[in-house]
Amino acid sequence: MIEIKKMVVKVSGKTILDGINLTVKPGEVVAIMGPNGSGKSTLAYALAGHPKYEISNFQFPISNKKKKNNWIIKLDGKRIDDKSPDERAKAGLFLANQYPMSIPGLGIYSFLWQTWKKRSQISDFRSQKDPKVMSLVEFRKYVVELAQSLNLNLELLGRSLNDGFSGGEKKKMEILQMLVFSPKYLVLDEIDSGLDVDALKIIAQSVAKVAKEKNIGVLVITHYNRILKYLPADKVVILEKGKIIKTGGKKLAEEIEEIGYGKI
Amino acid sequence: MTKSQITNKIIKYLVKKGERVVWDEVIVYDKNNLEGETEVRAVVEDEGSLKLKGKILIQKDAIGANAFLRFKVLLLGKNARAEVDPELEILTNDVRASHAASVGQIDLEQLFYLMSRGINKKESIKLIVEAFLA
Amino acid sequence: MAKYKYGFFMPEDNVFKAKRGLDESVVRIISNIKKEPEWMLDNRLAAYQKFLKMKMPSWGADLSGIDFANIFYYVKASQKTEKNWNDVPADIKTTYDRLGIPEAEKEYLGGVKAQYESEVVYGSLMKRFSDLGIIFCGMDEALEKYPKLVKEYFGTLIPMGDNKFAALNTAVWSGGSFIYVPKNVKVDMPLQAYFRINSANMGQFERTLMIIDEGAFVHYVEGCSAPVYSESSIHSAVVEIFVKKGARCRYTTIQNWSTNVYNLVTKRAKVETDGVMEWIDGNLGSKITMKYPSVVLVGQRAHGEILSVAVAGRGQHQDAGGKCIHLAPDTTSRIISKSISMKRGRASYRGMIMMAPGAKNARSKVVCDALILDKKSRSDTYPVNKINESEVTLEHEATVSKIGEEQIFYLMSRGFTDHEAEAMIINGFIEPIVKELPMEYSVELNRLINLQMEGSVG
Repeated sequence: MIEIKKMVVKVSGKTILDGINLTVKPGEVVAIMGPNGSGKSTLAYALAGHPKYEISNFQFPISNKKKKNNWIIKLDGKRIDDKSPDERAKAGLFLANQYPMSIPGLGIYSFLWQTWKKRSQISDFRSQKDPKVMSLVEFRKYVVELAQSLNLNLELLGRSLNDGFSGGEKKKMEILQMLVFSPKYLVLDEIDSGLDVDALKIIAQSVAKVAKEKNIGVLVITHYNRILKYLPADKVVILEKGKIIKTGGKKLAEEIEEIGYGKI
Repeated sequence: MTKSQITNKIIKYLVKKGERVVWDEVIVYDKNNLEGETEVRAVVEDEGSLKLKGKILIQKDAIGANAFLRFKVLLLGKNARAEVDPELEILTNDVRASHAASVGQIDLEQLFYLMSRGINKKESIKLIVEAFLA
Repeated sequence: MAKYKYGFFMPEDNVFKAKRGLDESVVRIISNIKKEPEWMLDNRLAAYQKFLKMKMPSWGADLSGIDFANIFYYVKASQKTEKNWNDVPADIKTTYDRLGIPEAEKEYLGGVKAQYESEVVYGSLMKRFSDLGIIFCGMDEALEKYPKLVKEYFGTLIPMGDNKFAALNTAVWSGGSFIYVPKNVKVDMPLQAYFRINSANMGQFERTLMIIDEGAFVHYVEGCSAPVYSESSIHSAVVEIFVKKGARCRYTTIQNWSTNVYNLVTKRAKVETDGVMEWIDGNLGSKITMKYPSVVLVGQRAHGEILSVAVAGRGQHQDAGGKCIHLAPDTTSRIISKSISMKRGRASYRGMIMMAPGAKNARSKVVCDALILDKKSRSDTYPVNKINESEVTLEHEATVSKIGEEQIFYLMSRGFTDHEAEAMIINGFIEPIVKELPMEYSVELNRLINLQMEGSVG
């Protein structure tokens, strides 16, 4: 379970998130919705440990942060708000970015292989593919299968990571990485923005399927209800100006679709 | 070399027949968070000669500098000559500095386009040069 | 050559074996030992006089630390075997271990052994080449066996007066490769300097001459990415390459000299009609390197390419780049330079594109990218573009920056540590050049750079 307790997040001294309490259980899909500027993406980055986002706690001053009980984010019972991004990834957290980076010269197969090798060193890693051990040739075939399931143009796999990719292709690449990584908890940061209808459907269904099979806890950050049609949410949380103003079930997302954020 | 201020600016030259123009400047970044873009555009007529030498110098304590220098040169006429030497000296790493230089002649596609609208060659070239230096 | 192994020397040898510094007698003895024809001795002497008269370059890296009087100008193979494995610096030995270099090769690279015992392996390769009419031997041997051919070309592309270090090399050169590829012969595997086992490789003043006849192709590889310890502090090589009509030559160098070395190299290729020359230049070692592989495009549609990667670490200045001289119409050139500076190192790109009158429709593109890893390191770009022909196109771009934080975060969020993320980004940065290297080199190069980066964060 991901537990977030009274989290405050500042960027360059400015408070963006003001006391967030949130949980995500294994196998649960939690949707974070809200108008622009509500702090949705900040939540994603803060969870993943981006250095620009300073996390503190509503009650305790920063100086007391190191005390054992002053945890702000826990993942499966272990505190992670004081851990670096790679340590959080090792703990099983995967962030699908809204604006994925391109890294010229970094070949995709090579990158995925390295990612997978790192993941498979972790004792409780449950790979999509059993057995855990794969040869390079088998791995490549596996990647091609995953790419095909996402309708991702196979020619792209021969390129450098995200180099020259369209927005939609980059998002599919994030999901491809997620499938290889096989996380315990997945954060989707506005994965639907800039996607056409078909791509959205494939991605959302792919996520829904693997989340169910592997009991992955999913945090879907989105502005619209569209994605939730294919990736149904168990819980919907509305953020506004850095605070949670309302929590509900699926129906809440439908209400927003009909009457907008202003009326909630 | 003369020392320039850090501002965004575009400098334009029309180097006429037989003229020689030299632009030789150092743009020094010596404080934090300075940003500047400099562009020099020049058209060199036949028998004209141009030298563009520009150095972006980012010193050790100029953190967060963002510097860009561009030279764009159009050579008209058989005996037009140009030398373009954009230099960079960067003494710290938390910066972004880039430069670009291009030298070429009138784009034949542009020329054809204007002429196909009934404008004669001499006039077309004049228009293209004006647009380049606008 | 074999006589050196068994210590059979002429009396004068023993006298100057211990002599440092350069004077006319040293030049004469070198020529004498090699039993050179008179014209070469005259050439050496004239070059020595030029060397004395010429000034040091007024630009480039700081060469004030060179002590001409204090080096050996002729080091025989036997002298090398006097060295002991214990004398090889510890950090170099550690690098060999980390790179997994086999025992025998370590001793060779460390300068402990005169040559790499690989006659059996390479002997058959050499036979195949000679069956095709290819000449591939040491420069000393070439002068002896093919004097007319050598005389026709030697010093014609890089004359002794070209620069002070070309003069020095012309006076005291020893070793280096001679390659002649006959018309239309395409050599299907890279010729490596390693194959020339009967001369001292990686000498201080190597002289290389290559002639690729019409329609032929060859890829020559010299150097290696593993660090090479050299006692001598000056390495001043000269390479002249003649690419004839329709021929193609690729010359790959990776240098990783120990950090006491001043590496000052003059390399030039002359390319005729429809010819292609590709320089692939990797600069990792030395204290100071000044090297600008050049192409002189004399024939129509000739093409030249220079791909350069430079890594400047602690106490290093890599001053490298390339020159393309367009003397004929429809010629094209491309320079791609990637440099990385870290730990107070300095990487400078120095280049020249010259388009002469008459080089109609010539096109050139230059791209220089530099990464500075920390705030104490430095990067420079000094391009000169002289356009004396109006109907040409030139594009030049350069960017200097550090590694992007967002890129680091992105990779860390996939479970890689910050060090691993940096290494991946750097490998990606130099990939366009590394992918042109023969496989063993590219693997070694990546690992070497990663090793060098350790401790560079923070």
